[in-house]
Amino acid sequence: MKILGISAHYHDSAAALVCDGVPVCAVQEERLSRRKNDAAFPVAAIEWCLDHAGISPDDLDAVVFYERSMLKFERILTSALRAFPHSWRSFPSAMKNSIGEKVWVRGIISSYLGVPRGKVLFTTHHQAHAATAFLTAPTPRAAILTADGVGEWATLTVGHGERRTDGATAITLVREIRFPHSLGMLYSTFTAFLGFAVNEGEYKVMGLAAYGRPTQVDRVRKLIRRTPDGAFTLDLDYFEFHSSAKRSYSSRFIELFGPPRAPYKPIDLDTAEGRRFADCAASVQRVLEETLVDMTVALHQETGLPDLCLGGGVALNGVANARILAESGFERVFVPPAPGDAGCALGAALYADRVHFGRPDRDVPDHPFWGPSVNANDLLRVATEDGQTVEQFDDTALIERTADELFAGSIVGWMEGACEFGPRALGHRSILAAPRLVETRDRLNRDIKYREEFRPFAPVLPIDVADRYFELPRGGARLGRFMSGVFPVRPEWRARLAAITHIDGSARTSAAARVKCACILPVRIASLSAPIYRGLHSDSARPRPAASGPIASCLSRPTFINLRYREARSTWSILPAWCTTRQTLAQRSPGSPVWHVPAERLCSASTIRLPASRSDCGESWPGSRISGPFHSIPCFAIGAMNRNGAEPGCATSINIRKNIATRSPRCNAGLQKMTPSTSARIPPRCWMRNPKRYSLPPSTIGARKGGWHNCAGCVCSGTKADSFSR
Amino acid sequence: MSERAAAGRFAIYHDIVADDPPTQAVFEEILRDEVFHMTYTHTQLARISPDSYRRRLWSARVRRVWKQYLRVATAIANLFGTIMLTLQYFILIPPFAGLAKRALRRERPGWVGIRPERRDSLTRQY
Repeated sequence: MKILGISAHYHDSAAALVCDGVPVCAVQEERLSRRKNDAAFPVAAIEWCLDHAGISPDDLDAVVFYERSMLKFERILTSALRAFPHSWRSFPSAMKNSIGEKVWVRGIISSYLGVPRGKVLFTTHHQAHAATAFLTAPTPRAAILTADGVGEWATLTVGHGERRTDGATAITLVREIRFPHSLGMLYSTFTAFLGFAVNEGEYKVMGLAAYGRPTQVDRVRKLIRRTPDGAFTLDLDYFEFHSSAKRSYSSRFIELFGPPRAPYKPIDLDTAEGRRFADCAASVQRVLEETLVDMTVALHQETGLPDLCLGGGVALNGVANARILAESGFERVFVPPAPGDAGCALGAALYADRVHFGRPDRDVPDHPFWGPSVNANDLLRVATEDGQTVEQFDDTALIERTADELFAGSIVGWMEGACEFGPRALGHRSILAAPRLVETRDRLNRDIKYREEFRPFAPVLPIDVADRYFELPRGGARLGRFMSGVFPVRPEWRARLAAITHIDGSARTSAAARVKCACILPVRIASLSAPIYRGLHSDSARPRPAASGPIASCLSRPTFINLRYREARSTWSILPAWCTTRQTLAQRSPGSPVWHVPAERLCSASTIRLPASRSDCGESWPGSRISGPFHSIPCFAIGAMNRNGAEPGCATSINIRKNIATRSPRCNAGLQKMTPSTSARIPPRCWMRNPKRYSLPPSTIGARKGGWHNCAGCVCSGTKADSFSR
Repeated sequence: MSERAAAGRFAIYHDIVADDPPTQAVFEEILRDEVFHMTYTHTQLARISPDSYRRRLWSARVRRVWKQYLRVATAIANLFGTIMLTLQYFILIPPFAGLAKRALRRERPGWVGIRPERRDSLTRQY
């Protein structure tokens, strides 16, 4: 029996295929369309799934959509009626949005795939979440809790699942909390209040929470009140998400917590305002944790089961998950690799197979790698065509070499096998870096992922050594398997694992069992994993690539250093030369993304032309020369960039005046530096017009020797920056 | 056609930054680049398809006009839809809004049991 599961039309569209009770493949639409959080009907994902399995739509026995669209429409319409007349602005757009497409899902699926309408089935949203959590977990019996923003009506459900000895499977959701009372919406409201994107920036709130103190818990508790039966209600006077599409918090909310943060405005923790935002994040995080812990304690007492399966977007909150594991009484907590809406595609298909069709239960492989695979030969061909240096290694040599490179300070892009299903990089599409120095984290955040400095990175390591570095509670290794739990780093390791140790001494562990890159740790050092999609692109909004097609486009971009994959390795430039080379490119190629750097303004002192030869391409001289008030950093334009406009084999030197450094550390993402480890930064007036896209060498060896660390933005135009080149 | 459209935009950017000669110079260079692309593409089209390149160019122009019309028509339809729905909101909705609010007042806060018939059938959208 072949069942296709689909999630679409809200965020993170995806498709998953289950054949004879076992998942065959699953992929999010964003991995193929290259649009982050792509909510469109996942045509590309469906096509890929069917192609991968070698079947046509006619072969499908059922197509399962992850929610009941008419029930959802009823909720939207009823919410508009209840908010009358305040909902008059949002009503037209909500109706057009729903009636225009979303309620006709059966017809859309039928017309896209050409399957009879009778083959199209619908689970409820939280049934799909529950199925994703329970049916992919290796447990015969478990309590189930799902929580997210909102599905149809339900925002949080509890129940239990059971695999019986006769092969039958039962998932029973017993009760629910209904919209607009929602833990997910509460958290999302604070996400919007703190200036982050809803449905995307929630993990930023979680990361920021560690920098604050929960001083506003009492105020947050005014928003969410517990009911006598153990549930909760939101005080809707503080919210507008149920009546407005533009803003999720009300004026009373602002009276309570102060003015919201403007997006892109830096969070400066040295100021009272910055601390207020961090405290807000810490407070809502605390309330979320306490509410979830209370509910799971009650659920444990009610069911008496040792295992808990968590589903829904709220289950991505690793800090709360760790507290649930520690305090709820459950021995094991299972969180699938894709607990959010994307995972519902897989859950819906599995639910239909086990429950609707009543097929016997089968073990589901316990890994997240259901997406498109890397074809090493394709990569080799692309790299060869682009004239890049390619080396091939066997597994042992590859791990040895990678460990050496990491130890030397390189940042390595790692692709291996099939793409992960879910939002996290779990070892098949990851950026690896040594976890020793906090500067590594800063460099990754600032120059590769282009994101806020408070965002942490996750360590990836084998399960059997995880307890050596982290204080894992019982069941912690399981929870940390898919980066779903945040655990304290052992005190003796915090200094040595500075890059992955968050400000509160915790780390979001990814204890992998079958991931090759996790084997690097025993070789030399623990490694550092981070989602790759921001690393490979200057456009940070793009999702990470799934297969060799998008990878080919990544290879042509000058933003990555040592690109590694299974068998092919491509050296673009030595790390210290990277940004310097970009600088060179900026001066020579007006069509590049950093074209707006007016070189004439930057050239205000002597420049040095250095002899170059073709063989030198891709390397830089270690160290810099100090000449008077300047640091002179020599560099080369490398081969890949030459085709983009830089002169072949050209050598140049960038001189940077020392006195433009200040004690005002900021990162490219526009946020105040939060750790005092970085010595010299550029004042905000020197920022580029587009600070996310450009930086001078952040860790050029010579620059660091001279007391420099981050030169981000020092070449911006229209400022008093005195750096120059050519 | 795309290069030509881009060239038009860069010409505007060029004029906007008249008070910033270095940036203006960069735009000039980009503009020259776009003009080069445009000319190059036109030459190649004429070389590859000497008999029909004019017809193809016109066809491309018509397609662009059609797409622009569709965008405008969609925007107008969207506006009319918004007006109609807003009118309906104030004319038709009020009685139902009263009923919905009355039902809301009767709702008990807290947990709500899930009816078995709702969770069992996968064939219904409700």
